[in-house]
Amino acid sequence: MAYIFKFPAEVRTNAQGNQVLANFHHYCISLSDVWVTIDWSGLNYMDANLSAVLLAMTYRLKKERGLKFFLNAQDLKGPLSIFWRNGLAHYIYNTNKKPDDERDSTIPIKAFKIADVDKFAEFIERDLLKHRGLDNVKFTDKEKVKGSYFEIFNNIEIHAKTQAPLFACGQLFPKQNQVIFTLVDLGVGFLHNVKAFTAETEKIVKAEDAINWAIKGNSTKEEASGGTGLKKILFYCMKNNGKFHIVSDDCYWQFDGAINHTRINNPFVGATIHLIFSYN
Amino acid sequence: MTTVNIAHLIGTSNAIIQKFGLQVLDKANSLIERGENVELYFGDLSNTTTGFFHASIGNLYRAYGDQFFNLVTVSGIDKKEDWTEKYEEAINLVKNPKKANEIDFAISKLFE
Repeated sequence: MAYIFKFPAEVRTNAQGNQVLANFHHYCISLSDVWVTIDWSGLNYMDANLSAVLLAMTYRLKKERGLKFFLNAQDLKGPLSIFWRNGLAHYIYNTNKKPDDERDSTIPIKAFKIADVDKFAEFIERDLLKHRGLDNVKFTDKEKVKGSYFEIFNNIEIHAKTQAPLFACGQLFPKQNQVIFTLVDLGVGFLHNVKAFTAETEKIVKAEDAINWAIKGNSTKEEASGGTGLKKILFYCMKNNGKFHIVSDDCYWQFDGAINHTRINNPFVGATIHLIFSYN
Repeated sequence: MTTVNIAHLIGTSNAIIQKFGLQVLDKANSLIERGENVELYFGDLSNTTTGFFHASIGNLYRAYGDQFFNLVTVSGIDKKEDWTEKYEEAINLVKNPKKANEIDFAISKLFE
């Protein structure tokens, strides 16, 4: 029997796009030790930063379900050739080749051990902020953006409770002066920790409430003296036309000028964070 | 006075996770318990986060109150524009955790 998951025409960094990826994971999680075809024959466009989500999913499915994945190379043409350049296709095919960036818009995909601060810092500073596509961005803006990614990394290191790697990928949109960067962990998600921590107080039991609680600066770690990192990122986004999306448990939480959340069916594990920054 | 070079202590110039802040806390605590004053040297760091400052400076202030300023001095913290701000914020958050600031007001508006 052939196992094929067909992607729709478009997958973007929003709740609908996340649902497509969650559906892919849900389709695969009931299978074991078989090949699954990732069918992109009808896919015209996918945000390249979502490679981090797809790689996290295939990593987990390979490890826990023994699955192998097939992508038809014929589908990786035109706008989808970016998935060669950012390295996703190399990971799927196990080519052991490095990402091959020939254009201004590509940021390579990368996996990190969760405490490997130096590799993460090097990735942010060299592959992202020194990218030729960001040459015209002011130093102070780069420092703010870098600080935001490090705050997220710290948050994951504290809360994810997993030894599994962290996956990162970005994409530059030079015409829109925008950079999207996505970080995915395979940890316990926001609700697990917040629910336990608030069991005697606010009794938070829903994912959107857990994310709201964290984003307001609360922390489940006494020694952290308050989780101000996420709060500062949100404030920076408010002041600088940024967007901040968090996907955890069954919630797609987003700040795009206002806060909204969308329920995700068959959610993936851990947390996915998208930061979308605009620059002049 | 004993100088603690933070980058040497934590083994990296990237003080971006809370765990490293707790290492600084432990080291400073052990020196203070031996009766020594501590100088924390930030100059060889390249990156920090609020989580690092809360875990190190915030917890030291929590432990020693205003005596902290006699026991612990900092140097090299002016290397980056926002490090002093993070340092002060870590202390202020312990002094008055409920005190809302500009960020809190702005964010609370989003939830109205």
